[in-house]
Amino acid sequence: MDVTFDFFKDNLVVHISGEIDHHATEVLRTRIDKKLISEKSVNMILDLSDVSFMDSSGIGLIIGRFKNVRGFGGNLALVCKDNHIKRIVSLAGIEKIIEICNDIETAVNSLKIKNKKTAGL
Amino acid sequence: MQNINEMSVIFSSKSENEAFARIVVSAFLAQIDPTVNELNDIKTAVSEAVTNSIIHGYGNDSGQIKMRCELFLDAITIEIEDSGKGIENIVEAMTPSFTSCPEMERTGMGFTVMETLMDSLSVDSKKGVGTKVVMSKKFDSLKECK
Repeated sequence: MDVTFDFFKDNLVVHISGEIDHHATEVLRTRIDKKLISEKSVNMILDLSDVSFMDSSGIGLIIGRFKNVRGFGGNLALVCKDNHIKRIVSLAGIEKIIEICNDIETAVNSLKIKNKKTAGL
Repeated sequence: MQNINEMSVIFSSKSENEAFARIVVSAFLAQIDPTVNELNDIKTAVSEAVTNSIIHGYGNDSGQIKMRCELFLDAITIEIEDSGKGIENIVEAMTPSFTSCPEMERTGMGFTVMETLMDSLSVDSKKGVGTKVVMSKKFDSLKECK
């Protein structure tokens, strides 16, 4: 498991690779939250394109980051193409509150729309 | 039905062994060549059961987890057993979104995931004795080959 960060149109993009299970989530949580606080970024994109396995520990990781980002007044979007991971995510009904996109560009656009709605524009 | 192969492994309740358990099951299943989706379903269910034993069964204590697999012509049965503290109320524990560890960002979806991805799931637990999860799955891809 590895996590790297970059920015795309002012959104913090978190690229996770490898396997997300209970063992991996503690390190992921710490590193992502530290980056979020240091960058004071409003919006986050969790890029799961290179995740090869995820169980329900990943659901907790996603919901936890969503709550933190919302606490800063921002929004969260997911980038995920793998059908098995999408299935795990949908079991928890995450797609009702978090947009699941096929690529980062689409995620950026969905966050733009969500931010306008949040701001009441 | 007579099984065609079986195996069992015992490992420590360390979170590093969640991946180990998944790899062991994948390697055992290689002999029947299931589809990627079937393999992913089984790996995920195993991961959930082992994680439950580590977090809820043993918590801050350490102990052993036994995983036993029985392979049939077109199905697998997997038992995952711990000697941890046991589940006081199985019905409550199996309710979607129920978790005793929200502070650890647990979502209470473990049993729901196991039930969804496998064909059958049973949980036997006794307070202070431990928990045994038995789950099975038929391989539709192999049924077509027979």
